[in-house]
Amino acid sequence: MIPLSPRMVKIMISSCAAVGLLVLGAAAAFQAVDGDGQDDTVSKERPAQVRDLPKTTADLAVLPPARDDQSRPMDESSAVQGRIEGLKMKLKAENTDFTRMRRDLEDRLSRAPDGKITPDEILAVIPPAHREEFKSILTSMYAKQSEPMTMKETRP
Amino acid sequence: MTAIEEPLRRLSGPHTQPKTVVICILASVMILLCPWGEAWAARAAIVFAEMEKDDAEGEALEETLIVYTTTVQLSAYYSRFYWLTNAKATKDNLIRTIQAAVNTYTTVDMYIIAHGGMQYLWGHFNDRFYVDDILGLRSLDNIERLRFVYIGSCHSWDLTDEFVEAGVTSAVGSAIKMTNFPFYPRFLNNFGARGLSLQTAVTRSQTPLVDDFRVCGKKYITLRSGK
Repeated sequence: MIPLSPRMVKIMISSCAAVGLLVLGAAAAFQAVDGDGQDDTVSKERPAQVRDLPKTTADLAVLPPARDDQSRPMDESSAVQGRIEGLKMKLKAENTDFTRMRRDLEDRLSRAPDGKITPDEILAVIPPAHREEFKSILTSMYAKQSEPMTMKETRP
Repeated sequence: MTAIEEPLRRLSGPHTQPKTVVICILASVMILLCPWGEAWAARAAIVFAEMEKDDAEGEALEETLIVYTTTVQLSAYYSRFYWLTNAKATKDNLIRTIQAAVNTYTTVDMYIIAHGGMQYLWGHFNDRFYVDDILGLRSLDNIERLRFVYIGSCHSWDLTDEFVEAGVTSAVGSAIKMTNFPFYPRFLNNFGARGLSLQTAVTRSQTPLVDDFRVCGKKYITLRSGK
């Protein structure tokens, strides 16, 4: 042990306290910005915080474009349903075993550590010829999103 | 001078001095790490996905889409996922899983995608989860840690206030018959990756004249905010 002078001890204690106060102040400021409930502007200016960067980068193909579109036809929802039904019909026509698909998915989910499964592992339950279409259906859902509707925002 | 130096000399004795320094350092490290540790590490999601209550095979594709989009959009924001799909999506399993999750994690969100009506959700084996069962969640230990519930079933708006009464901060449900596509993937993207507040994420994800999802409880929580 290196003996410290009383002055050094005082300096160290003061330094620790100062660092602690600084960190508390920074944390309070961070949470005030993050938790004020009006995150529209904050989110647009800051990229989302992502912990699993390599995997997320690989998944960018299914992430939506940042820009919203103001116009959207009312039958968009039925168009999405139609695409899902279309893929289902194709799978049925090829005699895909849906029960096996479902069980395979359940097995993969139960094996995943902490329930963290990769998109590729999920995609593996879909027959290879239809995987791109599967992803494309989801991508089409993100393609257009509506602007805020004031009436609905004020509903109870 | 001597009177002032005496206590300092005692403080800086050969045994107490290293202990004091170590305690100060440990205290600083705890101050540094605690807020972020709680905000990021102790968060879990329960996903209850049952779209074929009669054990029909045709909905396997929809369930795979639900699992896929949930993983892609949310895996970065939760340290643990509890998956209840198909035969595992029962009332008893749901209650058991909620208890296990809130006992382990300080913030738990729940995403329910199932058939339902005005007073119930439909699990596997025709197993119904009624409003009284939702109110009964109040008796679980640590239920206040269940923060947010998304209920993707027809007329699920009627179940949201029971969840809030049971201790949940916010719940989202549909006031009419509904479908989870394209609303659910869009909502996850807006609430998760884009970090929008709950009300804004719900509003932006709706298809006009088709969807009627509403928020019960606090409207401006974000996925990143605490309880």
